[in-house]
Amino acid sequence: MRTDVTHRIVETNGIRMHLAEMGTGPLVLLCHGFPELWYSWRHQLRALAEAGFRVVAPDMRGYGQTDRPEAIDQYTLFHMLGDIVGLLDALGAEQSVIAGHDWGATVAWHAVQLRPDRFRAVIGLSVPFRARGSARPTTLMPQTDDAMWYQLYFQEPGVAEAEYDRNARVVFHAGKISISGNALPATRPFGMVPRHGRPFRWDAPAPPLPAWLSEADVDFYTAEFTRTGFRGGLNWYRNVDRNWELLAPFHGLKVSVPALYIAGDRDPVLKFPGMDRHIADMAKLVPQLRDTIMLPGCGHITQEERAGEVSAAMIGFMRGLATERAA
Amino acid sequence: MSSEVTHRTVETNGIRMHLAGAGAGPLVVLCHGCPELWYSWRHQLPALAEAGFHAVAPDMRGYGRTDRPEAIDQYTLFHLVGDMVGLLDVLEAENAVIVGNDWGASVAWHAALMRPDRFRGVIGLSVPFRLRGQVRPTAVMPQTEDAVFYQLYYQTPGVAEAEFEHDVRRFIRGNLYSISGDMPAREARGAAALMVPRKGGLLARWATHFVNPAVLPPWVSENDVDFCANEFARTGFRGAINWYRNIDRNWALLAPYAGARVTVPALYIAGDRDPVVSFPGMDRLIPNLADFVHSCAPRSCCPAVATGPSRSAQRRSTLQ
Repeated sequence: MRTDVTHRIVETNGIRMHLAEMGTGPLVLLCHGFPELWYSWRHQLRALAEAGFRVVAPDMRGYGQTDRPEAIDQYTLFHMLGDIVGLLDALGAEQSVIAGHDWGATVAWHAVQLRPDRFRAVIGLSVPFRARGSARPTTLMPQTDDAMWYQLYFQEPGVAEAEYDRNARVVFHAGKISISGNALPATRPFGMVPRHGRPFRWDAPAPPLPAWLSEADVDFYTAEFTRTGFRGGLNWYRNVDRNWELLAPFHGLKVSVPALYIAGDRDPVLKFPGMDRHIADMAKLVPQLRDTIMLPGCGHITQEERAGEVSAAMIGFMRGLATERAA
Repeated sequence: MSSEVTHRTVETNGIRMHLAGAGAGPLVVLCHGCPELWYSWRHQLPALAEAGFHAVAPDMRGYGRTDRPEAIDQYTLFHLVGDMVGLLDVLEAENAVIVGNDWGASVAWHAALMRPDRFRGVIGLSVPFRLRGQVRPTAVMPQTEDAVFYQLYYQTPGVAEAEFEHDVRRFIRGNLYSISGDMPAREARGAAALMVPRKGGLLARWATHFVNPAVLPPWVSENDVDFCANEFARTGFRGAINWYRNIDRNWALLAPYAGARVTVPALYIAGDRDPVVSFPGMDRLIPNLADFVHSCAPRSCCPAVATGPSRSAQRRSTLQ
């Protein structure tokens, strides 16, 4: 068995995609979220490989050492799904388990929805499977005279980039902690960005690093995003309405493969408008949902905050699939 | 049971869609192609109703008395399949058999591909199911110094519309005849007929490959021509041609379906004098075309066909 993470570039769906891989055995793909990298899965790469799996974590489209197409409409969910179907082909794999966190979870849920023949099981972290709504998503996002939902703030090309690109280190230190289980009590409602004045408090004193986040980790993320900028990642949000339109054929389509959902009970995503209902309804839409694991005291950064527990839950779920097939 | 055709308008996928329907029983949705209307299924609506089916033929997005969104990107296959899924919801049908001719066949094949839980069988007319290709479709369409494939000619908004709309009745009448089996063999059918001269456009092509006959063949009447001509005179052709302007976008968005096969029972029917059969690549796609399309008689004995690992969903079936 290989004992280290190896890296390479493959061609998929018209782009060059960077992969971190480790291990041999049944394939599992790990899709990171915003604003992250393959590196978010560094603990799982090792743990899953040691448990007997072939683990592949790409830099998703727009991120890290993977290509970042210029046009915003090159970042629809269908482009992401095309990337990972092409990735399976490039890896010479008939099938895989797919896991995703945050935006990567949205990719993973839809991958099994559209291609259950290629993705035999799904693990969603933080973001649950959600039924397609009956209205354009941006029309439902909260806004007031003074503030707007962060996903609305992300819509205008160039605006959020200008803030994030200059403050990458703060994003990956104070920003990361602020959505983790180590966050201090919030001074204002999560997710609302003021319309006037400065959108973020970049100059607030940095809290001390928690045990799960090292200076070297902050350095890695900061260096990558300083090189690439945040535009590729932000472009995913600029397709939420387009995705909704293009998902019309899949209205009401259930997730038919075995599934696992994991979240931290302090994850701000759980407080998104309507999210409690989505989580409660999930078993109806995902009839093979094996388990919902709520990690007490854990925030949004599940794979890093609770590396061991998350890896163990993933391994347990995937070993269960093998047992089911044998039975 | 009534086999009379009734009409109504429903809301689906954000647009208002006009439907012609007949009969009661298992639902069959009939998707027309370009440039057609629900009216293309006027014979099938009562026939299927009499056979015990609930047959519904919409005016597809962009056509007839259905809405025609302005933006070109509102005409992707995802919008068109979304319309059909929404239509099943409006009709409160758990599932349906979906049938399509020409572009409507592409909608039907992809509906069956994307939602096998809702579309339990598929019948494709003229256009077979095609596995997604390796490259952007317009990049491999034929073009020479003098002429371009008609689908390339359609790409520039406004150009083909102007030619079709110049004399709508003449275009509808001549088109119905010229792509039918009654078009005389001496008039070039096949690949050459699909090329549009760079100079002179469609009108120049019509000089050689387009016939407006003195007398229509028995399967189409001047009244039929009037019906279609009146509709297109009112709506124009922009909605219809916009479907072609999404060919590359469809290809990009269909990347998740690379290599995917249609798994529901399928039937493919085509006429052996259909110009579509001479499209580039069709000879490789349907290698046995010459022996499977004997004729287009109205009856067939086609069992539901399964897909094999190395074949796409459509299988030849002997029409008797």
